[in-house]
Amino acid sequence: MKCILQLIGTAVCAWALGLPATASAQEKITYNMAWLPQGSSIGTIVAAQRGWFKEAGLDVDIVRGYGGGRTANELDQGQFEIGYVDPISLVLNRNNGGKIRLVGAINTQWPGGICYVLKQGQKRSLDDMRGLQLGGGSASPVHNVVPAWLEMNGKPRDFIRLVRLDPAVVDISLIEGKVDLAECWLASNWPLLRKQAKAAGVALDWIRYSDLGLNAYGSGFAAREEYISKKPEVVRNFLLASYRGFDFARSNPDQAADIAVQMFPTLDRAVVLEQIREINDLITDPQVASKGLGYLREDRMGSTLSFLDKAFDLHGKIKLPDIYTNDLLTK
Amino acid sequence: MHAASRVRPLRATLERVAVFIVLAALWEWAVDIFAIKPYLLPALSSVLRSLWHNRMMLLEQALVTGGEIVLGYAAAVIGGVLMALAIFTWPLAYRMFYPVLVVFQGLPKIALAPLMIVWVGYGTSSKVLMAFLFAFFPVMITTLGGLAGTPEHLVEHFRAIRASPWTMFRRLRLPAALPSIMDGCKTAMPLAVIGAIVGEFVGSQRGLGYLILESNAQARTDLLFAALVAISLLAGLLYWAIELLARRVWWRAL
Amino acid sequence: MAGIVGSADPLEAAVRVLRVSKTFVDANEVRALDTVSFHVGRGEFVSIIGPSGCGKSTLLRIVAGLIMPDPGGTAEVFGRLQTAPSNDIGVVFQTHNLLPWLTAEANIRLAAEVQRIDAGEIRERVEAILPVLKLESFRKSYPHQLSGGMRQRAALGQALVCQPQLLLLDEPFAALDALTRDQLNVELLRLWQAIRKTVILVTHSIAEAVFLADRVLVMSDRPGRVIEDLRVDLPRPRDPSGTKSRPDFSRYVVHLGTLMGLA
Repeated sequence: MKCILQLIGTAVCAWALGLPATASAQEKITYNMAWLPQGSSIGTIVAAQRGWFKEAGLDVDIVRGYGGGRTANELDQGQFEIGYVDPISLVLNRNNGGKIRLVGAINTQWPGGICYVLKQGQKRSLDDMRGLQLGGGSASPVHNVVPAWLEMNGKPRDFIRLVRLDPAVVDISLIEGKVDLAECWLASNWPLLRKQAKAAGVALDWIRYSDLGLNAYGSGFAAREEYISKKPEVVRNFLLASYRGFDFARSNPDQAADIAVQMFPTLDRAVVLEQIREINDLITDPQVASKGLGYLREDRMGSTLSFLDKAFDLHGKIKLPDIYTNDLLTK
Repeated sequence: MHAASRVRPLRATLERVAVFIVLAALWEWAVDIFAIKPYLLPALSSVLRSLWHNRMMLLEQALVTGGEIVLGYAAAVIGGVLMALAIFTWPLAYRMFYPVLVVFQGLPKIALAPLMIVWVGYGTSSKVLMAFLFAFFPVMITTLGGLAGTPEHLVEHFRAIRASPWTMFRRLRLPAALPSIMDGCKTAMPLAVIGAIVGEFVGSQRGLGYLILESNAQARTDLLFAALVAISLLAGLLYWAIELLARRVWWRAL
Repeated sequence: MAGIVGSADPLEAAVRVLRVSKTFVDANEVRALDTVSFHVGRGEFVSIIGPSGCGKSTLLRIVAGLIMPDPGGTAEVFGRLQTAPSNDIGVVFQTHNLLPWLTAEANIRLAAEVQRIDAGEIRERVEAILPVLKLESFRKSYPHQLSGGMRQRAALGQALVCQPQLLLLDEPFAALDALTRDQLNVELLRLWQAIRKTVILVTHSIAEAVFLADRVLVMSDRPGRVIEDLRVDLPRPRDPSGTKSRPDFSRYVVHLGTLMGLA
């Protein structure tokens, strides 16, 4: 009789001890990539494939998104937990009463620029672009960023004419000469454009916004304030594993590309590899290397906010401490 | 005599396939002769290669899209027939619903697609809903026409043999309307395909429409065309199924 | 009293039509029938002839219970006031009422099934009818596979399956060629001899009316009235060559023709 009781007691203890472990393995998170799969989310992709999320007790689902604006709004509404959000969409969402915040940097510089086809090897300067047409996706931030950036460089806001295109035809329109200029993004469509240019037998060049005065962060990890305060450890563990993935991608870009293609078979491996190389570059900020990956600098966040404030006439409504935090990064 | 009868079926098959063969040959030849860039129009051979290489993925996504189409289509057929029955039977229903339906049909549902996605979600249900919306009206209209077109002399005949309204409906109006209903069903099937694909274009994670988006985003035009071929095959298969069903319904000779 | 004619004993009458009028109100008012009265005795074969548009079909439909006469007129069948179609009346129209999606056999069964007659009973009746109508080898054929004559035979079968006491035929052979028509006339007579029910047949053809009937009712131009009730005293059984070559046959035909010419 005593043996049976002991047996039952041991079993109950073992079950009770086992409970917390099973409970933490249940934590479900959805991460929204804000677009179709591409190299910019390689950190999270590697972490998922390598099982680093599972180790930390997280069950991460990586899903596609529909552009920065929608991602920011849906994140705020609670449709998922973490998103790949750009500062513009974040600030605009806050301006409409939303409560999301950047919790980790990925693009430490605004990765966008203006691409063009090289005619007889002639590079263009901003002055050469007077009156030219710039094709951008209909929901792209380009339509707000470019006029503000032109103003910043002492040009009238309509110096370059903006054309709204279906995102699917932006690249081809540039290659085929249907538009003079097109929006391009590092670690996103820039490698893709180069691939298509090669097939067409043309060469491309570009001007980065950051080359001419724009000192701003690009997209990074974002989360709802309410979620951050409720489950800080979960966010912390997610970021930890993801940046471990980004670190891996920096040292092993080829392997990372293989991992990406494994998870998303439609990806073109050569293009992904280029995107990974570019994001490796973008994620590294030598000035704050000691703080580790993901650290958001106050000065650059400040200049990001003041640029956006001017571009969208926000009249100082959004305050700097509201839009980002480094508290969820270890160290 | 024997040789002639053996040749005929072979010849018929050849005639059916002839146009396809000619088009395929032209495609392959034109890409070569005019040096068409692969991202504009890939060579047929590369599309076929991509088709074969990605056959498992294409099949998987085809099943997803096929499921959306079939569900939406079935709902449209059932809903369309029932709505037509209601409108035919009750003048009140006719006055209340018919104008609304006509107006709604005129709206380009493509424009409504993003709203549908937001209301119903990114999952399967929004694609099923789109397929349903595209396919509903043809079925309803042809069913209504079929019911209203029951020959008067047959109606009189049924009155003469003292058939109850239910018997008149079940044994006269409904069978008499079947050819029209099948016509509507045939028209509705390709529309259901379009609806599901449009739904996938606007918001999805899976399916052949989504595959088109992804391959375009990666500038993998050969895969894009392979997906297009897959959609054509899927649509053709589904339409053929309805054709077969329609043949079992009696022909029209009233 | 113009209009009430007939040699059948009113008490034995299968059909009694009394002062029946019918006006249709459409785009214009059409007075189709004007106080029509006549009797038909049990087991009699009566033909009704008249010019086009004289209301013969309307009259038949009133007797069948498909249309109501204007107030003031009545149609009685077997002593019953006709207000709705009834079981004991079988109708055959000029446009056959065969359902294209049913076989000949299934078409014939139709009326009986609608009446919820027992399946075994229906089967027996159909087996009996098919040989009489010479449709045995075509029972599984669909209407579009049948010739005009066969279709009308099948239509007759439709009317007969419920074993009606009164058969109403509205120009049943009008759409057929002369040869088939004559054939079917003979078959109809044979059938009638066998079942001995009351028959009213509306027709355009004077020769057909005289050949088939015991009495011929002649109707005037619109609005239709009965202007003559002629007893046809030709011996039965009648056959096309024999009967039609008789001098009294031609006399009947000529008389009626003259009447119609004047009407």
